[in-house]
Amino acid sequence: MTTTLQTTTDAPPPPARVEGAAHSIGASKVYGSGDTEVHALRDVSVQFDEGRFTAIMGPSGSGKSTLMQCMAGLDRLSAGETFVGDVALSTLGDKALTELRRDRIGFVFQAFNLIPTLNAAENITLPLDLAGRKPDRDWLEQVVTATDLGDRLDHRPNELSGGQQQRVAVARAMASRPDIVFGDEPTGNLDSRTSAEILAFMRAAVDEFGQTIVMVTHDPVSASYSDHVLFLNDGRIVDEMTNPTADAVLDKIKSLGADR
Amino acid sequence: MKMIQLAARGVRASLGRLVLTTIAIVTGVGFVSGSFILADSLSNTLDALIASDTDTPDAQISLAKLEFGHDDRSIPDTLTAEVEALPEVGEAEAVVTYERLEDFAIVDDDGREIKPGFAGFVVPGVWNGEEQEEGVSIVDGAPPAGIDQVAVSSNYAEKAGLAVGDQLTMNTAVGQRRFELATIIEVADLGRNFYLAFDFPAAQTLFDKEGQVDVIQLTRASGVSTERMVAAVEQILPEQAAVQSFDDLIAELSAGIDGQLTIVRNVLLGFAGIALFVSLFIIYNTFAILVTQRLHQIGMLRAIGATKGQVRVGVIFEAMLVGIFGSLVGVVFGYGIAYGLQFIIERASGFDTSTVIQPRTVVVALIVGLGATTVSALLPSLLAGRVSPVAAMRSEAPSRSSARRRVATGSAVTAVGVVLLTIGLFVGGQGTSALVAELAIGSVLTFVGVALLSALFAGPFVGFVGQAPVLGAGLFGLGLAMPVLMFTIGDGTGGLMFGPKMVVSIVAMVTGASTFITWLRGGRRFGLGGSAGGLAGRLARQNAARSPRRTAATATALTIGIAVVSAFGVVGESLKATQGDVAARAIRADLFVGSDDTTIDGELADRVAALDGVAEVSRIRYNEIRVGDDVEEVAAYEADTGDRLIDFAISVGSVDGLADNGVLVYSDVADDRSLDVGDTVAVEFVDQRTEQLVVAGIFDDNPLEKGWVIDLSVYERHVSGTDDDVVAVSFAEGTDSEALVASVEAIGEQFASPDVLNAAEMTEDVENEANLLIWIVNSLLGLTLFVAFIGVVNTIVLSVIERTREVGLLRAVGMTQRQVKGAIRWESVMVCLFGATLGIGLGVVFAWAAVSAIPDGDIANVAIPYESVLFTVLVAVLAGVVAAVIPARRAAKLDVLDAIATTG
Repeated sequence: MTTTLQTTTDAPPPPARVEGAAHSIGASKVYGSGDTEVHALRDVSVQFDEGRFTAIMGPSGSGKSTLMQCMAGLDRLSAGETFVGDVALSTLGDKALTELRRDRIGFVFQAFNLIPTLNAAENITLPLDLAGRKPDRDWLEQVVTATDLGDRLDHRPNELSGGQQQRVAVARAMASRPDIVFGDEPTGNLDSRTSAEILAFMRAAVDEFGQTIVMVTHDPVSASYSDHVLFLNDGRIVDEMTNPTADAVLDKIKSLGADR
Repeated sequence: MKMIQLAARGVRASLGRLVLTTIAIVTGVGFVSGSFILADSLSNTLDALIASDTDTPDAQISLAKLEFGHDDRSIPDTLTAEVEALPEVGEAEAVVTYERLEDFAIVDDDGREIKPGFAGFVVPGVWNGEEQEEGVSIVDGAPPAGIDQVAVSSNYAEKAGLAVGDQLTMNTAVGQRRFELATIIEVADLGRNFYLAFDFPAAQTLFDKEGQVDVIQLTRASGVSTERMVAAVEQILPEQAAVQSFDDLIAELSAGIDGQLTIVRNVLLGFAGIALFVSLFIIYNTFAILVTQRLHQIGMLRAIGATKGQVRVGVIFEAMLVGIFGSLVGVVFGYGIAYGLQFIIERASGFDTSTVIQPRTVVVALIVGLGATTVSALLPSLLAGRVSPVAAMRSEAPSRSSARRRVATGSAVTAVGVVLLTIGLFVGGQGTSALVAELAIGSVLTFVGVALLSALFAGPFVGFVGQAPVLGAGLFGLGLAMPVLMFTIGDGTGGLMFGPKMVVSIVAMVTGASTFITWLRGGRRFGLGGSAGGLAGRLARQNAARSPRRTAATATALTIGIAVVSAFGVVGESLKATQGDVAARAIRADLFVGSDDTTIDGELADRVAALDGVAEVSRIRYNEIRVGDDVEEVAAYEADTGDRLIDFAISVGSVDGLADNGVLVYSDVADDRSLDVGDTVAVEFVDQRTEQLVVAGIFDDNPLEKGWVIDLSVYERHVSGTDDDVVAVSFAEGTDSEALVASVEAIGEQFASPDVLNAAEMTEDVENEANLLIWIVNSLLGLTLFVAFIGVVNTIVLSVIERTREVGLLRAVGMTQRQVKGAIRWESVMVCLFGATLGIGLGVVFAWAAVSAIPDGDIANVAIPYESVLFTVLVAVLAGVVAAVIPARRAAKLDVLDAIATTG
C-alpha cells in the first residue's frame, strides 16, 4: 500500500483516480459573496488511500475543517468534486447523501458527540438502527471489545469519563464498517493522557482492522499517531509529511508560520 | 423505530421543559372532556331520576301543546272524576304543581322572607298522606287540612324557629296569607331545599289554580292495555287536553333534556375550543424552541445518517407522546371538574348523581389532544428537517422561511379568514351550522394570519414601546387614566372590580414613574436595579425583538383570549348604549309593571288604574302569530293609550287605525315582506283562526317592540285569559310619584310581586342582563386566558434555559441578580403588552363587524368600554410581571461558572 498524494495548487488537475477510499478534484469552497467573500478552499485535489491514518493540519481558518466536511458529504462544494470510492458526491440528492454517510462514512466529533439519552451500547449501534440494519455481530463484538468499556456499556454518556465517551464515539463511527472514518479534532476536548488513549485506539483500528481514518487536528502530538500529515494554509495544501513525529510536525508548523 | 425510542428518551430528558406545555394541553383537553362528562352525567342523573319513580302511572293527561304561542287554558278538576268513571281507567289522580319557586316563603315579624341559602328553594307541594308519598314522614302534628293549615319540612321549621300550632305569615302565589303550622315533616333527598305542603283544595287556591289541575295521572283497569285506555280517554277529553302514555312522556322528556344539555355542552365545547386553539401556539413555541436547543444533536444525527424524514418523525413523535400524556391527564382533570360541579349540584338539589365517562369522551379527548400537539409540532418538525449536518460542528440556526413568503402567506390566510367572517356575518339565509362553521373557521384563519403577520411588527413594537421613557411615561399615563376614567365617564364604582382596578392602576403608576425617573437619572447607561430604564431594560427589549416570531407566537396566545374578551365587551357596551339611548328618547310611561317569568293577573291593571294620581294604564300582552309560514312575535296594546305610554316611532301611517282591525309593523319586517300602510295581512292566531288585518303604521326603533303590534280587542278575540304581561302606567301631573310607586308595589304584592320599574330602571335591567352575559363569557374565557398566561411563562422559561450561557456571561462580567431578574421581567411585560394591544385591536374590529351585522334596532353604534379595555391592558402588564417571577428567579440563581461551561 502506498500513499499517493497530489498537491496541485497551480498545475492542471490530474486524471480522476478511482482507487483510494476518497478523493477530491479541484475542490473549492466560497462562503458569502462580494466584500464578505471568504475562500475556505481553493482548488484542492487530494486522495485518501485505504487502510491509512491521515492527519490534516493547519492554523485556524486554513480550511482544514471545511475540507473534511466536504469530503465527508456534510457540506457541499462551490466548485470541483469530491468522491467517496467512485461516487461523486455532488450528483447525490439529500437522501442519497444521507444514506451514503450512514452506510459508508463514520464520524467522530470534538464534542456533542453522543446522544445523552442513549446508553453507550445504544449510541454505538445508532447508525445501524437509523438504517434499520442488523449489525454484523462479530464485527461489533470486536469493536466493542477494543473500546475496553467492559461493564460500562449500559451507562449513559454523563456517567462516562471524557475518554470513555470518545471511545464510544469512535466505536460508533466504526460500527457500520464504513469505508472511511472522519474525525474533527476528536481529542480537542481531552487532556493529554486521555488523548493518548483515544489516539492509540484509533491507531489500533487502522493497524488491526485496516480502517481508513482521516483526522483534522491542530496538535502535533496527535498528528504523530498518523501515517501521513497534510498541511493546509489559506485554503490550499501547502505541504505533506509521511511517518511524522511530533517534533518534525512542530518544526513544519513553525516554518509554515514563518512563511506567512 | 430508533427515532421513536429517541423521541421517548427526548421527552424524558426534557421533562422540565415540557411541564408547562403539558399543563396547556391538560387544561384544554380537561375543558373538552369535562364538558362531555358533565353533560353525560347530568343526562344520566335526570334519566335515572325519571326512571327511579317506581310508583308510576300508565298514562297522563295534560294540556295539549300548541303549534305556536301560548294560551291561558287549563284542565278543569271535574275532568278527574269523569275520566275515573271510564271502565278502562282504574284510578285517576289529580296533580297540581307550582313552578315559580321564589314566590313561596315564610315571612318573619320584620317582613323579611326566610329562604334557604345559596342554590336552595322553597318548594311548595300537595299533602298526599304519609303512605302515598315515599320518603315523607310526620315528625310532629296532624296532616294539614283547610286553607289555613300548612305542613313544613323540619329544616324549614328549624330555620324559622317554629313549632306545631304556631301561627305564621307566608307569601303565596296569591299574596300574603296567615297559616297555622299543622305538621312538621321529614322529607328525604331535600338537599338544601325547604318543603311546604297544603291539602289539595288549599293548594289549588294558593297556587292560583282554583278549579284547575295541571295533570291527571291514570292507572289502567286490570286486563286493559295502556293503548286501549288512552284511546278511551281521548274520546271524552276536552279540546285543550291531551293524553299520553307514560313511556312516551318519559321518552319525550329525556329527549328534551338531552337536547338542552347538548346545547349547553356545545357552548362549553366552543369555549374549550378557544382554549385549545390558544394552546396550539404554546405547543408550537415549545417545540420550535426545543429544536433550536438541540441543533447540535440533530446535526449529529443527520451527519451519522438520519434522514430528514427520520428527524421530522422524531419531533412529531415526541409531540405525540406529550399529547397522549396530556390528553389522559386532561381526561382525569375534566373528570375532576365535572365531579366538583356535580358535587355542588348534588348538595344543592339532593339528587343522587354519578359521574359518567363514556368511551367516546376518552376517544374525543385523545383525538383532540393528540391532534392539537401533532398539528402544532408540524412546523417545528419541518424546521428540524432543515438542520444541516454541519450544525453538529457549528453553531448555526436552520434557515427559516423568508419574510416575504411569510407576509404573502399571512396576508392570504388573513384574507380568506376575513372573507369567511364577512360571509358569515352579512350573508343572510344560511343554516346555523354553516354560519357557525364560517364564523369559527373565519376567526381561526384570521388569528393564524395575524399571528404570521404580527411577527413583522413585534420587533418595531417592542423597539418603540420598550424604550425606557416611552414605557415609563406610558405605564404611568395608563395607570393615571384608570381612576380618571372611572370618575368621569364611569360612575366611579368600577362595577364589581373597583378594588382590582385601583390595584392595577397604582401598580402601573408606581412602576411607570420609577422607570421614568431611573431613565432621567441616566440609568440607560448603567443599569440601576431591575428597572426598564437600565441596562436590564435594554437587554429585555433586544431579547424580545431578537426572535420576533417567538414573541409573536407567544403574544398570539394572549391576543386570542383578549380579542374575544374585548369583542364581547364592546358588543355588550354597544348594546347597553343603544338600549339606553332609545329608552331615554321613547319611554313616556312613568312605570312598568311586569315579571320575567310570569304573567300578571288582569285585576292588577284595574286596581292600579283606580289609584288617585294615575293618569293612564295600558295592558300589554305578548304572544306568537303565524304570518305566511313564519311564526312571529306579536304585542297587543290598548289602542287608545298605548302610544301615549311609549313612542312607537311611527315613520309611516299612524296608530289611529290600530283599533279598527289594524296592525303596526316594524320597518325591517315591513321591508322584508314589502308591506305598506293600507295593505292587508292574513294573521293566524293560537286558536288557529286567521284574520285579515290592515297595516295602519310602520314603526322604527323603540325600546319595547320589534315585530308586530295589534290592538288588545283583536287579541282577546283569539286568546283566552285575562292575565297581562306588562302594565304600563303614567302619572297625572303634579302627583307624588314616590307615594304612587309605593302604592303600585303594594298592589303588586298581592299578585305574585312583579317588578315595578321606571324608565331608567328598565334601561338598567337591560344593562344588567348584558353585564351578566359579559361576566359569564369572561368567566368561561378565564381558562383561555390562563392557558395564554401559561404560554408566556413557558416561553420565558425556555428562553432563559436557551440563554443560560449568555446569562452566565452577563453575570460573570458583573450583572447583578436584580438586573438579571429585571431584564427577564421587562421582556415578559413587553410580550404581554404586545399581545394585549393586538388583542384589543382585533377585538374592536370583530365587534365592529358584529355590530354592523346586527340590525340597528338591537345595536346601532359601536361603543367602547374604555374602562374595561384599560383594565385589560393593565392586567396584561401585571400578568407579564407575574409570569416572569419563576423564570427570573431561575435565571438569577444560575451558577455563573456552570452557565458559562454549558455548551448546548
